[in-house]
Amino acid sequence: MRRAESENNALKDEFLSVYEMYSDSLFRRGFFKLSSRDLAKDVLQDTFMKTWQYIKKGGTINDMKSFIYRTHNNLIIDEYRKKKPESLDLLHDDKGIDFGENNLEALYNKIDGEKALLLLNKLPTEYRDVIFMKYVEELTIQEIASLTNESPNNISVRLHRGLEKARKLYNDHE
Amino acid sequence: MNDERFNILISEARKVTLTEKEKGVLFQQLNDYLDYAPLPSFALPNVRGRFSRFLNSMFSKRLFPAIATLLIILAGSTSVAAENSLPGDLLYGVKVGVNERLSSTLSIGIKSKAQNKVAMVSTRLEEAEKLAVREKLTPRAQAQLETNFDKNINEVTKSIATLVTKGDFASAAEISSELESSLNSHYAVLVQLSGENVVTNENQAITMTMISNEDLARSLPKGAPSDEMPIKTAGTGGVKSEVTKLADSVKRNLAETTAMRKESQIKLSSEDFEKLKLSAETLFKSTENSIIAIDKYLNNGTTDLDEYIKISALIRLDLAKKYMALGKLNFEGRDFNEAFRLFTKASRLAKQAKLIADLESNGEINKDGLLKIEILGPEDFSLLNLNPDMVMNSETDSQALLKIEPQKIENTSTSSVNAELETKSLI
Repeated sequence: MRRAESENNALKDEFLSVYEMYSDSLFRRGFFKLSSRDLAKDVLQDTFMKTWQYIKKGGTINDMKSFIYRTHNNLIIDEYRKKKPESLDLLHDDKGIDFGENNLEALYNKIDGEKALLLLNKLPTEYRDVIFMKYVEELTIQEIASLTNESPNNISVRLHRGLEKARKLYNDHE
Repeated sequence: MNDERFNILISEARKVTLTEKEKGVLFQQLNDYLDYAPLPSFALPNVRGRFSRFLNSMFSKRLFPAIATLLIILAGSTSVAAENSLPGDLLYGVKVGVNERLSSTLSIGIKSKAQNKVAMVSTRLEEAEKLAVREKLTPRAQAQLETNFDKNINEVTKSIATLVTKGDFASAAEISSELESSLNSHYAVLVQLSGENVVTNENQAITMTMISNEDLARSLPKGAPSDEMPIKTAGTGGVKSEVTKLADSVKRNLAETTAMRKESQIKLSSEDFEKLKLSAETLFKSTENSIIAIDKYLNNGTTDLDEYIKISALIRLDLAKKYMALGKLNFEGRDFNEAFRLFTKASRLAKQAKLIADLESNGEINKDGLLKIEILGPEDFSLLNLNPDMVMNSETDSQALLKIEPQKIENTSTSSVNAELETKSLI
């Protein structure tokens, strides 16, 4: 009984270490996708609670990092469904946010973390996530491929094209 | 593409993080949830494998033998490096989750495990003191510290309750006394760091703190320019208010621990004659060993201690020896209950001496201000043959007392009590 308690505590500590390791990155990701600190925090907590519940039910996790990122991704999609009109992604998918040249310049001039994420969000949807994962989250191509269920080759091609798009986008506003 | 602008964009985007406070709150919430929903015991062995796979997945299997060797080397050095980590550091999880858990697992028996936990309580408070001195006691670090502090205190309290339930009142009193000693010393330091004047000790008599801003500045790490570490005023938030909160928590626990110790001692006094005698004998032996070890440590030529700190520690050690001698007299007079009480007090003072010396030798906190924090009571002053009236609530008089003591210790007390301890044996 005591041994089980001690084992449980050890696993709890390990799990909390995983949380410490990824909380900032996942929060940033949540904020990038949901543009709300509160929602990003909620999704972050839910991710870890659901992962723990999954483990508790005897589920198998082969790659903890991928599992957590995927759970996080699914929860963000759930949020999109719940809050359709407020989702930045969907706004972009629909007609996009028009910053306007002047507004964009204002954003450049007063750049900070959150505004930087808004600017990155201006990239076309198909490139936005890979650019974010590669450059902001510093994930490897292999990791991005695993998270998006695509081949590494596809990711490489998309990254290359995404950078071209970014070049065009930012040059247009020079 | 304007690479520079893109790079700025990326580097700014990376700066979006949770605030320290948000992190602390979320961490605490998750921690509470994990406590609320523990894993079922049947699942534990399999889960362990899952976490291992998490680590395995980070490495290529082809490189496994080389990585395994490297890990073994790194694990040792990580574990050692983690020992000095503080809340907020990357390795802190290793210190609390691996090193301390391992040391606890290796302790056998309730008493030994409880003693281990008392050491952890002391470690948590030392960490708080170091962070406070470095002005890094952030809300997140505070939340982490409080969680671990409460957890360790609860574990010790549970152990004491178990010892009482099992009728081992002597061990319960001993553990309570150790915890009391640790909390008492750290409370004094925390009060100093919080910049407040507080009167405290178990006898509620002579204790005082007289800490000026200059004293606090002296308590900062040596060589640190003072203008880089602005001293915030108490009560206006920031590090000091966090320290004050922690000091309050320590004070509450101190009062509870003192009550537990006294209760155990009362229960012990109702024990039968032989049991009392055995308890007193056992405590005498362990305290004697502690005193000899601490004496060696303090008087070791290689131990580089600040003179005042050494004096402050030696005063307590000297008192410990005197209480041992008094205890022996009572033991010989067959008043085993009083002998046990005096040995407990001796043990507590000896541990205080070690704690004070340890805090200094950590090199993180200059305990200059400790000299003005007296944790001795009227009984102690009478034993030192000093008039308590001379210790007034003033800095000068307090320092005067401490300046008198070294001579006393060197010339008479230490050697005579040592001789007494060596020549008389209880058993």
